[in-house]
Amino acid sequence: MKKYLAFAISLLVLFTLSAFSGSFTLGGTFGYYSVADSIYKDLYGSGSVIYGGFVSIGVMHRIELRGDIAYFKDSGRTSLTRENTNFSLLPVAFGARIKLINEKSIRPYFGAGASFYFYKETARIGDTSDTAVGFYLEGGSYIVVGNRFHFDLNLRYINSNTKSLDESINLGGINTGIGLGYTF
Amino acid sequence: MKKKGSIANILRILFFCLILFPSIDFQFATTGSSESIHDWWDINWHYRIQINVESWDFARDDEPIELKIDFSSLFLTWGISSVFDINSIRVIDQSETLSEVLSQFNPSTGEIVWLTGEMGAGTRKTYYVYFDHLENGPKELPHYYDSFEDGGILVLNSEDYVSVFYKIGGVEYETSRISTENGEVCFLKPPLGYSFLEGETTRLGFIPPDVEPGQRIISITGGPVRYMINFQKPAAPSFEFFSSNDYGYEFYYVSNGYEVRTKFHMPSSWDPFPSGANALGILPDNFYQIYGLSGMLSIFPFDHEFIDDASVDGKNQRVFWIQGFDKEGWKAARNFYSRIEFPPEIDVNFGQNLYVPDDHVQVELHAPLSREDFFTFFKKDDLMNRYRHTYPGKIDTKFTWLDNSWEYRKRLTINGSPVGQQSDYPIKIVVHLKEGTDMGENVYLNYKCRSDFGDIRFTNSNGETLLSYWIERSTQGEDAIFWVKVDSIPSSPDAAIIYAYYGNSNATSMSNGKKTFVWFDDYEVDSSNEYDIGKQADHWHDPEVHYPYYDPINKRVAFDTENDSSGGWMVRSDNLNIRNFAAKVVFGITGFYPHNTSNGILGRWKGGNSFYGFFICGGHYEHSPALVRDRRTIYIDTPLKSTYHPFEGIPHTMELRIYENKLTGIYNEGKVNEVVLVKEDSKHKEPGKVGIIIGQSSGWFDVFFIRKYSDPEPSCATWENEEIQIYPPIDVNFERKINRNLFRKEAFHTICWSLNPNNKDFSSISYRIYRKIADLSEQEFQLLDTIQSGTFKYSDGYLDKSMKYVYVLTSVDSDGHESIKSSAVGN
Repeated sequence: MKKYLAFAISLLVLFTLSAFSGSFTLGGTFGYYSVADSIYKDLYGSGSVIYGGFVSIGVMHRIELRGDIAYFKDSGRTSLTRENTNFSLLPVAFGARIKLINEKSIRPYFGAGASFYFYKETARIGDTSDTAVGFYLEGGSYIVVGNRFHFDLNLRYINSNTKSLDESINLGGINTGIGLGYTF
Repeated sequence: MKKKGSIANILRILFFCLILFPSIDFQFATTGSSESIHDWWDINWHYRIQINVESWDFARDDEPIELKIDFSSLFLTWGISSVFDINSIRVIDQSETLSEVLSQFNPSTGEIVWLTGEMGAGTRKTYYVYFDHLENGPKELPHYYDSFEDGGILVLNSEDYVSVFYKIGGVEYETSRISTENGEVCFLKPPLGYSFLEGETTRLGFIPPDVEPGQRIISITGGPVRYMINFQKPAAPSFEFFSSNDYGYEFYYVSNGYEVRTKFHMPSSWDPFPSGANALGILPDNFYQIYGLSGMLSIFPFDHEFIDDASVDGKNQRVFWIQGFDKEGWKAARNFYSRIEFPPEIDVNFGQNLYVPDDHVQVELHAPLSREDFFTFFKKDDLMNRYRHTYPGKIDTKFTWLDNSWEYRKRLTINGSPVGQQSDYPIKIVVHLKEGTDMGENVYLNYKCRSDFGDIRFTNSNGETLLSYWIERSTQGEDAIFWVKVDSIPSSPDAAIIYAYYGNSNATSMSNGKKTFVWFDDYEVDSSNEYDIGKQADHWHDPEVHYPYYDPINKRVAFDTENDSSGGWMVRSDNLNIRNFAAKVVFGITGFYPHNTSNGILGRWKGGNSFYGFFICGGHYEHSPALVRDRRTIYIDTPLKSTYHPFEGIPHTMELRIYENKLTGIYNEGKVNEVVLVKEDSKHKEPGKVGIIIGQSSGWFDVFFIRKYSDPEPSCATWENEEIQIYPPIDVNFERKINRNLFRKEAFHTICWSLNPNNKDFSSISYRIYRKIADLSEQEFQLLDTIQSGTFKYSDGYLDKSMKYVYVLTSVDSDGHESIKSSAVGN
């Protein structure tokens, strides 16, 4: 997993540096991630908090390229014996946002991108760690405060399927969050 | 099922009947209420009989009502010359509302059968049987399910039970109803002309008429042997929200050894068939016909939810057994209980003006079938992860018992003979009714067998294969001498094992000397054509030949040689020469002549005066047993001049044993004047015939048998303690539950069962649980555990989706004796 993580961070840095042609923004996010899979809900509940960071650059007047990374952790119980089971997720996403309005303090946007999930599940019956690839669609709005800071209200739909033994598990879901960014 | 508006119906029927059928007026005049109980069901039918059914003191559930009516005579009585319409029979429940009841009608006997449905205690139901004659227009046969093709089987799910229908010759028969609550067979009736396989109580299936034994049978639940439905959801596409909700179904069953599979597709819009609704118009969309080697089988699945914890080939699937059994597995799976109650009372009311002689109407009251058989069926609400069925085919031969009817057995060890292995060797066993210490050939059964010893059986070491035996002598209430033909006895120091079963009050003796010995004749019939009968050449005093002859009155062979000292011989005519043997005869002498009486057994006889013999011989009033060679006067050994008078016709026994050079003569074995003579002689080494010789006397001989013989003989060594039959567990129920998180699964197998009430001492019973992989027929069952009671749980660890298991349970007593297997469950 470490290998994949290092690769993803490298991609993120390279992408950011190479694409830099305008404003550069760095920030953090905090939100709630609701996993869509019904089996997940049976075992872990609807979801848990997720937090992370992001970088973005403006490449055109309204277009922003963006990369973010987050961490999600949840705990639940196995279906029959009700033993503890823990699940963690490290989503790394790359995408673009298009701002509908770029002049006012409220700047709504929509976007899309690809996501790479590094997940791990630990329990008595066995540990599992693997990766999954998916995509996301998102919408939200920046609330600009002053010249450098802005808040980011975001709603993101993610789809990321992975195989579990002989069935498909969708690690995607709905991520609702708020972020704070600083533009250099 | 038809329901008409009451008043409108009555007006129409009255009008119709007043014009055309005035004889029916009375029916309406006397029943002219607007209540449904008196409504006329259908104006196209013109006659009906009221049937009241009283439940009496018991609640009823689908009690069969069997009504027998001679309709033709009934019409004659009423002065109606038209022909009774055999298709017109309809049974209408008019207790509250008018509803047609499924019924069977047998035109040849006039028998109509239907079911009461639920009835509370002390309640009454009113039915009308409607019928008509052909002049009123022929009626069609009732077709309750129009798309049901001839030859098919329809399994319909109702609220409380599953009904099985057969369509044979265009007629639909509801042959059984099976409760989904507890699996009880609520009702069972063969299709017309069919008979029960092995009697009513076996409930294995039905046999079509004119079918040779071993040919096709049909089970009471529709599947000839077993069937299974796989509900498969197609493999999901990449993203869940694009997946189809349609289902594929795989139908599978085994019919008389043929495996039949088919698949069909079913859209998700399919809905369960509504209970109690008329199938017409609805059925085609919900009714699927499957064709197999044994004809069409139609199935009506009622639950098509898929589950995601049992996966095969990447597809979600649900597998459950509707019913799985075969003749053997069935017996293992069924449960037992009984219910005693009175049959419901049926009152037949033909109306006041209709005179019907008693002999025209016969009402038969039938209590439910014995109901002691019980088989499992799925419960609708309990399908998740639960499979309950018996496993077809023979699983294991490890656990054996002769038959449930025998309660006890003892194990006998027979030491082999040092001279070599023996096959089909008769072993003598003396069975005593009373208490005692088992020793050698004597076994004591502590008054647990029949006093006539008719329930004694012997099996070989597998506990199942019966051995032939013959009772040489039995004394009622005392003891009996058995000869048991043991199939194989190894040479010493190895030993053979046989079992003696007893404790079955209904059993009768299977004693059979012909199956037990090399040669056996009790002269119950004239068997003289099986012997060469002749006379020795050197007769002295009487040139006349005096052959033995058959005495049909006393059923034995009689002789009177007068003064002929060598009156005759009688040997087997089968040309079987035998070298080592033991031959025994029962004889009596009623008269003798002054000189040279000689009666006895010949062996290694090659004609003329070449033989060994064991005679009773002598003269005047002195007679002695003697081993002789070639002539009666060449004694090998004899206590001469002793008085062993076999007179007065009292039965005596003589036995000649020859093994290699050793001759043994036994006179009056075990009785007064017993004589045992043993000598060696080497003159006659070649095999010869065995027979009987008579001379200078009159008398008879009766039972004569020749058996294999070795010296020393195999011997009864030790008897084990009595074993009581251990009955297998009942209500065996298998559950597989899945424990999982998101990416890992493990299976927990749980087996629950009940004590078998037939076991006499519950506290001493424990249970052994065996398991093997279902697909590996050659694999031995592995013993998982032995526990006392309750529930057995076993974690399978990481789930291997390819594994399907078969479990076997046995009961074990405190001595380690193990029952036959109980039902095997698996998957």
